[in-house]
Amino acid sequence: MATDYYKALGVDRTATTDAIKAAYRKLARKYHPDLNPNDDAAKRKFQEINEANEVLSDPESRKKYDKYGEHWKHADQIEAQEKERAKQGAGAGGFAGQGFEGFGGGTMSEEEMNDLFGSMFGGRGGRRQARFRGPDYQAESHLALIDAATTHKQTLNVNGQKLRITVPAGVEDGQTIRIPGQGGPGANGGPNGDLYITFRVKEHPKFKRTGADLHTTAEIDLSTAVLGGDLLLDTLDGQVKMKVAPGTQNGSRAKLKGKGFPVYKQEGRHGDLYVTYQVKLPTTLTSEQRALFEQLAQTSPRP
Amino acid sequence: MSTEELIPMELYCRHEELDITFVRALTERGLIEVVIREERSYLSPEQITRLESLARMHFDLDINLEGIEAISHLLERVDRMQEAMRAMEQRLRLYEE
Repeated sequence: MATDYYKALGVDRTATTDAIKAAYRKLARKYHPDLNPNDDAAKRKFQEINEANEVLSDPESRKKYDKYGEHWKHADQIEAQEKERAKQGAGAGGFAGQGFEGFGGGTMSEEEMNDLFGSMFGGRGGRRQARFRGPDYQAESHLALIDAATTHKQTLNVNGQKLRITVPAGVEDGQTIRIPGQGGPGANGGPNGDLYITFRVKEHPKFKRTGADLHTTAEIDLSTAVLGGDLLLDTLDGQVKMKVAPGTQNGSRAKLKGKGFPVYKQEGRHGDLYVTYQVKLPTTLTSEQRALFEQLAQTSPRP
Repeated sequence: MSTEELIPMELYCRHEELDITFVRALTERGLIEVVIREERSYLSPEQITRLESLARMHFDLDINLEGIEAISHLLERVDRMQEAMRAMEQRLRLYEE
């Protein structure tokens, strides 16, 4: 992420560690995923400020960031190259330093430096001050409605790593599940972040879904609507034969209990399938049919 | 028949270096549910996920217990509202065509 970490936290480059911590906490309270469920924009923003905080709250990383900007992660390599060049330029024995340049002008061993960092972070003695949780990752999984109806395994590619997950039957469009510990690695022994997977369930040409219920339409001809009859209907499990009651009105609905979608994480439970009848009226009539309709019209009471 | 996965609370706190009094305070406020078996407290995986989230609020975001309690109630409402919105969106789609 090539963001200006100082800008991300809203602090200036001379900000103290405490000011950085305060700015991070203020923003984290606003954007933390725990406080913003199912909000992708907030999650992205949190990742940004989390990354900024991880770098700027660690004096060593901050020093590198101040010097090398977005390339701070390669600071060691850059410095090693620079030293190598200087050595070559100055001849043999040019580089003698073993430790870091101390804040007070002397030199400190790496161990001493670590102790100093430890004391800077360990003020409250708590469990989390020096440990940083890794960033949360987001992923999307696109499913066909039929696939969302069965529990199945899926392999996702998250940050270059293949991850095999079980998708429980009944997941909904827009539903997010959290897989703990599968996010970015933590720092200083902190735990890994989490992986959030949002499911996108594609619409089906025949079935519309509301929760665990499915809705579909079925065309029936006039005589079936008037006299009743049998209808072969597509469901998720295949075709079923259903009875159409005599006198079925156009737009009326019938319910097939348990023929809907599986209920999420409730094995064996299904919603219902609602069928809306569309009565197809004949547009062309034979002379015989016309005569019969005219005969029918004479016998039917007029409104 | 399903088997229940439970983790002893003390063991979890020790492993996570989490102050057990914090977990007890959450339990007293009804924010975490513990299972008591033979006078020992256990946590279910769902409750651990919840506990992790509440611990992050407290330790990472510096939110006190009263704040966590208020936030938890609001998050439950947000959850219910998001669920209702999703159901309504689905219903609306039925009339879109």
